[in-house]
Amino acid sequence: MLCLPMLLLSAMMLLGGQGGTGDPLQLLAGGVTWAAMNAVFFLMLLTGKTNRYRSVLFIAVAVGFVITFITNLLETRGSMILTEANTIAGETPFCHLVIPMIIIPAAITRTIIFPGSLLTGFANIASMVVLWLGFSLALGRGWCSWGCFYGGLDEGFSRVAKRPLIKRIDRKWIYLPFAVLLVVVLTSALALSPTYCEWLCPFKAVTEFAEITSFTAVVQTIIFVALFLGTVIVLPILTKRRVQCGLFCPFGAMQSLINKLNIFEVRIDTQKCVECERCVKACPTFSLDEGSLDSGKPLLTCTKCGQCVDVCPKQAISYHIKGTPLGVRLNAARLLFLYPAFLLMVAMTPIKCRSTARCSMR
Amino acid sequence: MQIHRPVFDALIGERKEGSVQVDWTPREALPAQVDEEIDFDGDGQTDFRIVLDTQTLAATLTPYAPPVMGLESVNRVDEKLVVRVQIRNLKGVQQ
Repeated sequence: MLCLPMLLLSAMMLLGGQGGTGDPLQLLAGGVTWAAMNAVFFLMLLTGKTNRYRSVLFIAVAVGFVITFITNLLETRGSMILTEANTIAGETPFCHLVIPMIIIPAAITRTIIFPGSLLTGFANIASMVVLWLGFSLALGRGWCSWGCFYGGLDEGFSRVAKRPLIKRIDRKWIYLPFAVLLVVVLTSALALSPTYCEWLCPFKAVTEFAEITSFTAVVQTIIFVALFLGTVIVLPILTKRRVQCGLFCPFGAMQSLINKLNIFEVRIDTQKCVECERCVKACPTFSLDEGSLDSGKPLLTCTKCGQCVDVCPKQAISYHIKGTPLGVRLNAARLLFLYPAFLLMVAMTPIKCRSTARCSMR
Repeated sequence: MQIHRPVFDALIGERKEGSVQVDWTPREALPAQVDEEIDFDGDGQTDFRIVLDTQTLAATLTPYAPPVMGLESVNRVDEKLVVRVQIRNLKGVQQ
């Protein structure tokens, strides 16, 4: 019964816009995705384990996104290269990582500093901003473990090795994303162009990148590939952590700052906690330390993935609704969190974008 | 042909340099060579002349006015031929 609302809502989101296309393959893909996602949701509710199932789906969404995105580009443009003509035509798909950079210029100059379409076409600016606003209010930094279609890539690589080769990472590094955020926000405002996309985005390596027509473009491409290899592949394998998400991503840093606005959080019951530190070792985004066990709260970078909740042998960690007593109605709080979180994951599932991209990018 | 507004947008004030975009449309109906004199600031004086091969996109720009710096790019965009010309901002310089 608890799965019923998700069955209906996810059916609307995955299949609603495609029923009219008459493409049986689209319907089949949507149907299979819908069934698989709801099976995972059912298992989450049945077993009480969150991250075990979230992670599988999160990685699948990221891999599916990359495959779908590149396939679309090859089909519609013939390559992953973003030409100047594409930029002038406003054909660059908008992604949430740009949002921190557009806020100040939009407020001061009333200009969106991104060469995408505001209202029409695949991944237009308005739809992504509305999605981000709604789900950020509902989930805060939970976006990073439930909605970000890039996060599953470094999560996937962080699960490759059995044991971490690099075990100790200086805690100071967790402030790096905030520094990156500050730099890209200021430089983007001054240059009126999204500097993170132009210079630092690791995911350019697996989405689209500027045409190499100058030495600058060569340097940019080398940076994209190096950052992707370093922060998304090599370091996650060596540390078994989501290094890009936890130690580099400026969007994640912004989500940490606005996390205060939403009602869901992860809490540690200090009465039950035996300080075994399994959660500290397991946290993929460096959001738990010894201080967290004393205070009963993870650091503000917590992405609410549920890994610590799953690994705690004393069930001392749980999802919690701010303002309610700690340790009561744990299942209700978890369920209330899971509905919007899972809906966000469904909303970011790449299966839908295939048909719209095909229409709009041609 | 459409001449867009010169763009010198900055966060505050205007930049020293910017660009102006000129579009020709529909692309299929254009002759093999476009030879046009452009007055982008609407002062009645020709600012530059552009000679454009519509097949190869080879273009030659001849500046007539001090703000005109050079050719930035020539592109086919949907049904348009789009030319961007680099220009100096001779008024309201703040950066």
